[in-house]
Amino acid sequence: MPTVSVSWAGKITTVFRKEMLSEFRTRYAFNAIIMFSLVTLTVVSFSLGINRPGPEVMAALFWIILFFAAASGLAQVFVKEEESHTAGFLRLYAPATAVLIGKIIFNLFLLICMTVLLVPLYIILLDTIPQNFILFTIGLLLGIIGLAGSTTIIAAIVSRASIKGALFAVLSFPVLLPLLVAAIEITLVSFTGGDFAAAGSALQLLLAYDVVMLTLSIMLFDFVWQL
Amino acid sequence: MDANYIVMVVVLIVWTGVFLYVWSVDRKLKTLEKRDEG
Amino acid sequence: MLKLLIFPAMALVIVMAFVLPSPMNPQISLGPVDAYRIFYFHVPAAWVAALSFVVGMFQSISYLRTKDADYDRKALAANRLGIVFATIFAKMTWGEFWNWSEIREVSLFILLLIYGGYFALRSALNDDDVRASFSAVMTIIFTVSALFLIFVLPRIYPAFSQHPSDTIVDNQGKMSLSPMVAIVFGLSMVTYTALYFWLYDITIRVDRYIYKLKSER
Repeated sequence: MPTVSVSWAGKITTVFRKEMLSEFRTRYAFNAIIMFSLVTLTVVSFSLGINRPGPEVMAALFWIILFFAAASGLAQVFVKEEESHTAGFLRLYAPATAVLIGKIIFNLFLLICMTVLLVPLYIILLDTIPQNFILFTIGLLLGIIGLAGSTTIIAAIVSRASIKGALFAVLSFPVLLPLLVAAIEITLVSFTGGDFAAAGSALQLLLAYDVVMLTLSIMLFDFVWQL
Repeated sequence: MDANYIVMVVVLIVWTGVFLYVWSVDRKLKTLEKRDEG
Repeated sequence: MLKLLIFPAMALVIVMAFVLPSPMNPQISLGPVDAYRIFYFHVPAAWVAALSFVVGMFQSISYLRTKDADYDRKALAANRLGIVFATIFAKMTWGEFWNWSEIREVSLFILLLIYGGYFALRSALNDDDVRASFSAVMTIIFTVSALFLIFVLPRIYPAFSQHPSDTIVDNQGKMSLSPMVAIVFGLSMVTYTALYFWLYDITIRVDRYIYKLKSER
């Protein structure tokens, strides 16, 4: 039997492309995330009315919207494998880590789409412009990398459990807390025009978190996937 | 000091109760485990 | 039977806690001075809870490496006891010191959330192997996140420095516990830890026995 060895990058890319294809047939998770973030944003904007609370609140609100939108859409990536019984094929095709990374990248893509939509709307509707836009973007990027990196493995765990939706939020929230706190602080500094030094320790924390959680996910995923 | 004294006595009584309970569980377990060994 | 020593040791702590003068300096006290005697009991409870969660993480790692179901039992026992002692800590500090209770309550609440999630996960999984593995994975993820939180919490509550432990460490950061207080506190820590490991051992043995009964049916 001829053996075709496909490189790791190849497998990861294939998993990612497969996710994109299957997702854009139904757009289930994509819609969930976009709609959820829009709705939450609208609710926040309505409730605030003319009041413009300080930058601390605005920074916190931004990440709350992000968190809940993520919680609504990111669990799909494994649940659909279980529901359509394609998990077995995926296991045969690629090593566990490639599957995980492919799906993390996919979740990251979802989050980027949401962010691209959310940020301009947030700025317009809630009248908040980050003074230090570069810092804001970096904080945002690090934040969503951490979001995707730590929640994808949780999505895999939840896909085999019985109460999927609520369980995903319950499990993800405490894990994401350090990320949320650090990201909110960075966003806050960027809103008020501080420089990188002011956000320095939060940036370090967030970066450390991203690296540690991603590594941890990769190390632990085997145990989740191979059952 | 009087109030302290009362609280102390109560806590001591509670602690004695807790300890005796845990001890009795430990002993029961030991007998059950020995029974299954032998 | 060293375990028997736990009884007089704790009894001694209790007596000393009430006989010795209160460890709180009346000048800087923000609450009733006597109530602070609880210091001998609630700090060790917090320590034991934290210890338990860390133990749980190591048991989880061992489970994933060996797939020996006994480790899953041990991790479960550790997480259970962690929640028990965390709840004891919560009950003791409830309504205690209004200025800095926020950070203690917050960290406690988060801990309870985390390990509550652990039990929610366990109840949602039916297959024994899957449940054990997934619980182990989540425990490790949880404990690592909890460790991160230690660095993160001072950011939310910078007033953390306003600790009534001004009795332990004074303004220059030097230990200002009187020797008697230090001894009793130390004894309490040791006794609590011994008590914890005893309870831990019993919990595991009970679990093992129940499992044996079930599998003999």
